[in-house]
Amino acid sequence: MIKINPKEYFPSLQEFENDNVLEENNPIMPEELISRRDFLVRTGFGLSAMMLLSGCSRAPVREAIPFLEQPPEITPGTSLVYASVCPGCSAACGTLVKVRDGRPIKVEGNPDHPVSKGGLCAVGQASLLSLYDRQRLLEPKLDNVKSSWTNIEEKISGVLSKNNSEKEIWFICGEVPSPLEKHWIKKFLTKYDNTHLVCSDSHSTSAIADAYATTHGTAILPRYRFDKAEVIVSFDADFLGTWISPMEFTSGWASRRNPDAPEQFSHHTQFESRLSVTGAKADLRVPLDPFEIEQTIRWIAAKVLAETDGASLPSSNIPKRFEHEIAEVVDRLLHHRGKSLVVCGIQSVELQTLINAINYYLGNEGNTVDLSNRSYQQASDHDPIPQLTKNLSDNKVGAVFFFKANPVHDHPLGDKLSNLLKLSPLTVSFVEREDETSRRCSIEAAIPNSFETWNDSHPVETVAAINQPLLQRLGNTRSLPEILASLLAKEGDNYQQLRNYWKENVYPVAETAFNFENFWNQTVHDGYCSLQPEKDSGRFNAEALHSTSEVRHKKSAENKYYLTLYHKPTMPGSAHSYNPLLHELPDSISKVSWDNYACISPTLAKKLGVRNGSVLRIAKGEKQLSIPAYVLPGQHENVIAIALGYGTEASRRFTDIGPEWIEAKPTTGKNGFVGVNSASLIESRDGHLSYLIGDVSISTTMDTHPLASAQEYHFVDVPEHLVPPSGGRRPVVLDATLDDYQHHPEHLVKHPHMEGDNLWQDDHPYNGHHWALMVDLSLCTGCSGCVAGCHIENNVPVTGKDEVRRNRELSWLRIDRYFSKEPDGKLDIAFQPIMCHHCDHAPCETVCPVLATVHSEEGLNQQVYNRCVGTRYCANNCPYKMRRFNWFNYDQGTERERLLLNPDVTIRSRGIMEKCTFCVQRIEKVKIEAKREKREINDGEIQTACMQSCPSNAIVFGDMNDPDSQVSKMLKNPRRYKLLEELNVKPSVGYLAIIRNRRSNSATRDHHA
Amino acid sequence: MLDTFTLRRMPLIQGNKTPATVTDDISGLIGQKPSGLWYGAIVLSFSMLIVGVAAASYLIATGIGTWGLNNTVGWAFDITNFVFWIGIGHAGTLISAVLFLLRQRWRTSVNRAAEAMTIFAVICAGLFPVLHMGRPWLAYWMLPYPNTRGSLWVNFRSPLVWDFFAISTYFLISLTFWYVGMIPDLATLRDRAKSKIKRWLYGFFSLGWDGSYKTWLRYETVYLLLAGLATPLVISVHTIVSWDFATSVIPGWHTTIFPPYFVAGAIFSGMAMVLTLMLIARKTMRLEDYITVRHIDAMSKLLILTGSMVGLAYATEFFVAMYSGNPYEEFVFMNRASGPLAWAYWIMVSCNLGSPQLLWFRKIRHSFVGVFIISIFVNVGMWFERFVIIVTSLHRDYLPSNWSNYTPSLVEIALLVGSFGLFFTLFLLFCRFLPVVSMSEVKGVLHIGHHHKGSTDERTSDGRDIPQRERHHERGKNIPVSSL
Repeated sequence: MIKINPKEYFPSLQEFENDNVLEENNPIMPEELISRRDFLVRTGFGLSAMMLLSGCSRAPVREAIPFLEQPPEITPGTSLVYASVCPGCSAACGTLVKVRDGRPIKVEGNPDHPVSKGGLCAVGQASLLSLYDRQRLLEPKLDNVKSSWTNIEEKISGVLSKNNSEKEIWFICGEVPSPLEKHWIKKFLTKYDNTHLVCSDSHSTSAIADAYATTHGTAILPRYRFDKAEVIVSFDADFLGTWISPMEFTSGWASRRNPDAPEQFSHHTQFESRLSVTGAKADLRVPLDPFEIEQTIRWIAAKVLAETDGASLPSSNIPKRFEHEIAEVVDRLLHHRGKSLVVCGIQSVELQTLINAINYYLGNEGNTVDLSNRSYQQASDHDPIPQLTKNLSDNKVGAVFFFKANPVHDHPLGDKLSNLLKLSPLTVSFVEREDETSRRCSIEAAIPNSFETWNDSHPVETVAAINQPLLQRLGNTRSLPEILASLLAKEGDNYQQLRNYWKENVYPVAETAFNFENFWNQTVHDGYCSLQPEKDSGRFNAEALHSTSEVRHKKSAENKYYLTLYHKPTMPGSAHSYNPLLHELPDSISKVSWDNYACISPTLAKKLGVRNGSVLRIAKGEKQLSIPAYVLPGQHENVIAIALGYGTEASRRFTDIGPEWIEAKPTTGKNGFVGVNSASLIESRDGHLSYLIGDVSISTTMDTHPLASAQEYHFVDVPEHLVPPSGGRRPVVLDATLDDYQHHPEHLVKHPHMEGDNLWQDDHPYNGHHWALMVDLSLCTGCSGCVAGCHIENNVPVTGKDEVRRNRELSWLRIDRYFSKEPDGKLDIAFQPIMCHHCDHAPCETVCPVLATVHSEEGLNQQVYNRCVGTRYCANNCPYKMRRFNWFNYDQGTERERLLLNPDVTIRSRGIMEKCTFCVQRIEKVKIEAKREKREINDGEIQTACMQSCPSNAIVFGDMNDPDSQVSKMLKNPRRYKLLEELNVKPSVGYLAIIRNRRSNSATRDHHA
Repeated sequence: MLDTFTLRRMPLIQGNKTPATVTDDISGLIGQKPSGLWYGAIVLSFSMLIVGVAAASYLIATGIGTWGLNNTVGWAFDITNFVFWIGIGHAGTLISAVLFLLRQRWRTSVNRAAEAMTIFAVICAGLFPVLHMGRPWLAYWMLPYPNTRGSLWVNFRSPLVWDFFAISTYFLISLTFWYVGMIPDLATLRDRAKSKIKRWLYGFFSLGWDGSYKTWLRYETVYLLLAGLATPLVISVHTIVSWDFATSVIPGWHTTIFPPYFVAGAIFSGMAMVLTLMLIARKTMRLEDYITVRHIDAMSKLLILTGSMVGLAYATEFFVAMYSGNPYEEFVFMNRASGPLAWAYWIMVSCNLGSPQLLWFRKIRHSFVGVFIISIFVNVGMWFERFVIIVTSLHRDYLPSNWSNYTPSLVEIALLVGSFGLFFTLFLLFCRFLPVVSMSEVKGVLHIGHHHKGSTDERTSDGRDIPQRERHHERGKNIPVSSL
């Protein structure tokens, strides 16, 4: 018999003292006190404890160190939210950063921010990956060797002091939205003579500023007010996707797209040569090549000026096939003077000057074109690189500084620059992670991530915002102002610098009644402050129009094409190419992830005899590029479109991203990169970078490079040879013209009569909440912000190109993009976000053999991860196919990268099913808060990650049991429909049909009726 | 007179067999050195099995991602193989149980092998539902066993749970039926066994069989009852398997014709597989006298019958879909016939509907090579039938954005190959260690004494005296068989 000495527990201290057991008790228990049962229990416990301990022995020793002094605002396990600025691009949207236990885990839009108004695009959502990224440079490097800041500073000041103003000092910046940084750069450069400070963005809009310099005397970028525009005419400006400030513009545009307020409903015409998300949402989309666009601008300018007593301009021809439409556009503009907006995304001063004239004569200045509240977003000076390379080769340059600029990769003269940089005695790059330019610089100064520093932004004249650090710096980094201050022998850390700068420069022009201390605290809390508008913004000078006669775009020769270089909304430049999530997000239009490609029209594809993935050789003069083709309906047949920002050194690391198995294929291409760098084809002309290139020739090759598309079939109509007797159009996306909708709203949606057709009794009433989610398809621009937000909120791993190609992406939310050929021959494009529909009669629930997916009493379809055995029957039986299977154990990144994971959401292991939960962790959080505060949950208080990120507020989540909730109201809207309603699965997700501002189209109506 | 009778109806067993030569022939197979063909076959099938084991190990170690499945097509080779193998099993039960009840005496030569085939096919089938799970180590969660996870139970609404019960029942009943039918033969083997181990093993499994009148009587009663029990399973198992699809919402799956369609298909495919196996066994195991034109002819006729039923089901399914007015349903069939996987559909139609029609010709029916080739075609066709049903319905369902394609991975192909390896390995081992033909039953269909007096010679071919017990058993045997 085993002797066991169990612990004695005493009912009370009294008893303990009375019994004095310690002295009297026999240390060896009498045998009869242990029953057989006890013995078994204890042995069993002991054995399992041993097994458990030995099983865990390989786990690393971790130490949890408590706060020495707990900050009063921190409760472990609860998140705090700080207002900050999005580092994604120069639009500098306002953000709210969720910080959990000292680490930022989610970025969201700041709904109070006066410019971005709460939306946050995919790039902003994914920007948090930059903080924990494995490739960050955490220490400065001197001649490619890790070094100390003292050495770096000595080297810089040593070279500069020897310079004696003989040689030029160049400071090349990319997008610098921060006035503080600009202030310090200027301050630094004033110490030296012969300096050149140039900000040149790879998204340059320098032609607009130049055009204003011509017409108004000041080089400014106005703030465009899409929220005030009843008629929008855009020439190749992708303002919902990438142009200047897409979140702001989307929110403004969306505010006038409510068909239930038809008098406010805007009319949007898009003239474009490629298919952009903006074009996809236009009421009238006119596909033109650049030559035709220029003709059209000239024709419209001549007409408008003639009608509005402006100067007479030489008219031009317009494409015959769109004569009628273009004439209507002019009529519409003339009928909406002061309430229309004409924008142009082409880098041509002449054309932008004409656009200025049109806006001026239509009376839009001061209304939709706000010159007194100018924008600093995407602001660019002239292209400096041609001059720099020239001066470098003439040995005139003493030092070059690069900040947020990577011209070696992004500029057509990159190769030349790369070879010439060594001629400068000092080359410094201030970088967060190494790039092509920094690798060729003698000094790589490691700067902190924007989530680690104090900084500011000034997106438009009247708004300034503060960027807060949210955690201790992860490495030995210094911010640009800190380095420059130190070089100038000035004291002050990042925080002091910002405070001082704001005290001196921002506070005096701020619209505030507070003293500086309170103003500062309020601004840090809110994330932004209002500033006074500019007084004088110049007057229109008609003389300027004389300079517009030069024709920029020539008609393409036979067998020559135009090339348009663009940025994808989800990949706005090479600086983001380190970001696996942005690569994984399917492009809004093509649905292709992990690559760039040459978009060509089906006609051209047929002519060349190529298919998706056939490698084309695209040549302009001596420059050429081999890139896979992608056949895109809607693309103009004379135009090829290629995305910029690909083929970077940073993307080399993705070679082995994704699961490893025998048939796995690498994510990178033959060149070792993700995609191909197309920057060499950009034209640098008259100091402007031009993204529209003429006279390009195409030749085919025998190579193929398979593209990974998240959607394989793109039409609402089934293939022609498979059209069954009952018709081939799937009623997945419903749409109507505004005219039809106004007069016969009841015709739009035919609901199947299913009342009473219930297989189950109503034994599961939803007495409390009944959650629902509605998506207004009219407003969805396919920007994919929601998809990125969902990925980060729910710890959805990135799977790599091969898995996407195999149609095994894990995203819980996808945006379907459909093309439909309308009766008039035009192409309509629709976006449809699809997540788990949380069906009340869920087909997935009945088929699961182990009850791993069940229904909650609040209408949620719940997936119980630890019960799931992975039969995939539920996924097969899901009509929406929105269940996601863990085909492998997915890599969640390095230890540092895993800090991004949301602790509220379980990491799923391989072999189990997962799917959208309606962000159940957010629902529960709000429910707990409301319960603690003994109150009801307010409508709109629970925001799913997708809803929060949507710039156009297309996604609305709420309680359909609450008759006053926004969701309930949307469920009564005549536009509402449920996808595959006829299956009677009773989904909790619904859609509002797309309404386009067109005249009655009875054919369309007949179709839906 | 006898001659005219034989002309009209060829004898079931050829070679003037007597009960003793039957015993000698069949149990002799077990002792003797097998033919080179057998060795060749086992090497091949065991290699295939090794490939399958390697693939399964890799699969379990790495994940379902090693298959070619995707978000749209969640099942393909796995469930195709499962339904295919389950279907194969059905012919065994049909031959052994249904034909027994229908007094089809030609079944006696093939029923043992057909039943063995059933068991091995169900083993192969049973592997796939386990392997197709994301977490196969938790497969026991399909069992409704009392557990400590609260009131956690299986979902009795899920057809997969029904499947679990249907298949386990089927396996148990088939195994019992097969085993019970084999007891008299095991006793014979016991009596003839030379080594101690063999004698003990056969003795253990023959459950002390003594060949007495009483034993025979009870044996026949049990056999009859088991046949009665197994008969509904021929219908129920594949009906339940078809519910996996029929109860779903996927067009192409959600159809009421599936239960009869699947049962007919199962018997059809099983018959083809019995033919394939019997023709192989006939050659490799030198059973030319026992598996004769009569057997092949009868099974070929069944192939025509069930093949035509399957063909009718194809036509009905197509017609009903087109008549339904349901665009999704119509599309599935348009897509099957001329979509990207149309080649699979037309393989299915030509193999299942076309090839058996050749069996209308007596010449082809009586040509072993011809029937063998057709049986292979039907096997292929029936595999494709399940592939077509599963993959073409899934890969293009409701939302066009979900549409996707499916290409099998090497691992999936290896698992299919491995399942054939397992099946043939088991079958070849069975041929080697157990009586391939039911000796006791075949003796009942002999025309004893017509040609020579061999049946009275109570000596084995090697001149050894037949032990007393066996003689007793041989004699006692005639009574109950004739009393049937």
